Amino acid sequence: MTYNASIFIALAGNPNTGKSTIFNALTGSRQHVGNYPGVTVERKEGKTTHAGFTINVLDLPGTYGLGAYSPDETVARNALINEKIDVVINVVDATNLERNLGLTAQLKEMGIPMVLALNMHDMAQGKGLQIDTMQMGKLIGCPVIPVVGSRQQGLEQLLESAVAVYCREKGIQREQPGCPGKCHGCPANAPLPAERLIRYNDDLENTINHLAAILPDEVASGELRPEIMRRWTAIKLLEGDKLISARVAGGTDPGNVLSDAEDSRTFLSQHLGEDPQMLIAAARFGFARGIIRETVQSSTQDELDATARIDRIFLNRLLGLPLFFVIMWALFQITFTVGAYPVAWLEIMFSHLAAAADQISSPLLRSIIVDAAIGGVGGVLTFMPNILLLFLGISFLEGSGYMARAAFVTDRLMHRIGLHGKSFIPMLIGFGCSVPGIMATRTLENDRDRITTIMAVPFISCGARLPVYVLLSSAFFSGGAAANAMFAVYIIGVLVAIATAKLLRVSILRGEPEPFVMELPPYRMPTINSIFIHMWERGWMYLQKAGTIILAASVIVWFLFAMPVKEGESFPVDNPDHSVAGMLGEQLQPIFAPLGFDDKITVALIAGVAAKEVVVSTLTTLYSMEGDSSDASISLEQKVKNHSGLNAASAFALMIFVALYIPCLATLAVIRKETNSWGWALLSGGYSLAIAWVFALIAYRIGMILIT
Amino acid sequence: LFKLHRHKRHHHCACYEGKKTLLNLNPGESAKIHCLGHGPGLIKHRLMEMGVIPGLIVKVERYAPLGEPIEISIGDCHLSLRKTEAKLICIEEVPASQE
Repeated sequence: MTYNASIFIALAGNPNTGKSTIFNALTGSRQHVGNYPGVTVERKEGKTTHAGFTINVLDLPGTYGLGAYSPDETVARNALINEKIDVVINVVDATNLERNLGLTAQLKEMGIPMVLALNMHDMAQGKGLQIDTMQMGKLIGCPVIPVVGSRQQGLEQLLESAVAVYCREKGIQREQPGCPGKCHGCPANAPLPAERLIRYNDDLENTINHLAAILPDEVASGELRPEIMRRWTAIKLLEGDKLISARVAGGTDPGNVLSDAEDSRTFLSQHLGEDPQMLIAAARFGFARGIIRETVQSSTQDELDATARIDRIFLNRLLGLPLFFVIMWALFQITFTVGAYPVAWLEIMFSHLAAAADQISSPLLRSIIVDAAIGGVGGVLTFMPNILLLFLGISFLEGSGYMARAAFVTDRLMHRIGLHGKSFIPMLIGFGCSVPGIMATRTLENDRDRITTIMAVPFISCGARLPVYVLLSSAFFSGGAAANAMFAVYIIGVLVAIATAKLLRVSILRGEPEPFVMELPPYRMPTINSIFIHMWERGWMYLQKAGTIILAASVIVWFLFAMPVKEGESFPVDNPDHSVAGMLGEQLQPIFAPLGFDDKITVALIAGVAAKEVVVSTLTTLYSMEGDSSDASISLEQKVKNHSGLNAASAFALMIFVALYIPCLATLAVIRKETNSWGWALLSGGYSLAIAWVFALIAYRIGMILIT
Repeated sequence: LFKLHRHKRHHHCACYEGKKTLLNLNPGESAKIHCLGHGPGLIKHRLMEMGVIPGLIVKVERYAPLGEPIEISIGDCHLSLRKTEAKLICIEEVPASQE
């Protein structure tokens, strides 16, 4: 029997409750990851079926509350209000009920039919917690299903309860209820009795009732349970919730409910000595604690659990930081040394492709395919193994719980420069590639912290800049000096990133430091499935965002280099000097003259805006036009040394310029995307150009003094 | 109006004068959370949502290698706070029987 109805289920819960694991287990690969409009919170949806029903599952971001503290919370809350969710599955961590049930209380107040998934039930039992799920279901007024997401236990029952709740709500008679009648909390077959709602103290209750009574009717129109919606809206107004206030104010006839709410807040604050918001929160936790008292029996033995023992080492005052650096070092080793093999295979593959395409007789077609298409796609794809490995490592560190520890040990350092412990990871990823680094700032809750980090990340030398450094340092410096020069450029990048963060914090993004309250979740072995899904999601996002832009950019750059300036020349031109790009180089060269760069280098730098590694390939093309190009025995380093007109000072200045100027078009596009403003993207581009010019000039001048 | 409001708060919650905060605890020591003291409502609300609930027992687990932030635990829930937030959490001594 199949039913026409499809059920829309939302998964809600605190962070670190294993919500995503349950989501992955429920929906498998039938997932769709997107973004909520206007914000950069991931929207994960999936599909499954149960007992003839199609079930759409929406994985809401993990939140501690339903206020508007962070973009995540706003998104979760708006989805719950606006998206006509049929059933919400509240995933709670059975080992941490006290706090988790606080969110449950808030969800319950919203009146959406609910099923409670008591996740990590096995771990709770291991800790000696006996939870009476039947009784808990009665007290909360919804089915309570013990599940173990990581081992896929209890998920069938969870879906069955959700379907049962849905059918009850909609009055659907099922021919064969899949429920054997053993579901925990199933007695909740009647609508929620009123006394099961959270009761606040009399002063608050009177105010809430008054506000609910004078709310305009439209607030609850079309709702299944208008009374609950009215009460919830009244509570939110009393809490001073800005979004809900704006919603009511935007209605056709708000009346004086808003001013009444405002007056009540002031009055109650004085009268009760505490903000109504705090009192309401306290009452919710009172509700949670009441439930725990009645349903949980604990026979805990106070021995150190595994997490505490691991943290004794990882958060140790002496070992904490060194271990952090070792782990980061290992992450990089895996990313770049292990990644080097697949990268090399891909490079060979693309060079074979290019060689095959070289047989094409039409010069135009050949040029498009070899230079633009293979060059562009190759540029994107050859980085994929590194990116995927980096994300694999990061997904593991996140899933295992170490990421929060990394933020813990580095927060002080980052706080000094006006950042946040959680800014460290994006900066670190920036060494691989700025694009995922900037995307990783999503874990930062506060916008100012996020934007500061986003603006700082591009100065961290990414992997694409490395080939440029290698080429220049090996051409102009001998052995040890070459390594030192490279190291110096990396350090300068980091210092500029720090200075930029600091500068933003005292200027445009000035303000009080944001609170840093972060959970240190228990260590867990993440499931392989969830790590790979996570890795793939991010890698795919990189491919989509960076890939399309890098490809488009390389086509544009190719066009600039192929397009002749003078009429009568063939298209594509043979000598880049005669192309539009060559002309641009000549025109712009005076700007770069103080840095010691000639017009060819200027051209390469223009090309490098598309992507930094393009600087090397452009130089290759430009110098292969020179006299000794036919001699394959002369290395590119030698050619650069012979023909570039650079010396050690200007070569170092060029390295610094490459390190600091516009990261690449993909990065700018991601900045635009993540900040939702062209302003920040343009500022990043302009500011980095200026900084790069100034630093390169200083380096060149100092270098010239040292040389002569 | 605002001043009056604050004054009243002082009056109702005794924790402003001479009360100890989390910063008075050494690593390894526990105390009962009395209230969330003087500070912006948003942060206090956030702390509460994350489990810093008056009446519960809080333990200072450790200070980070560089002296900040601080790891605290409330039941099984471990949180990391900076000193500015730790200062907001007023504590009272735990009676010997409860320890």
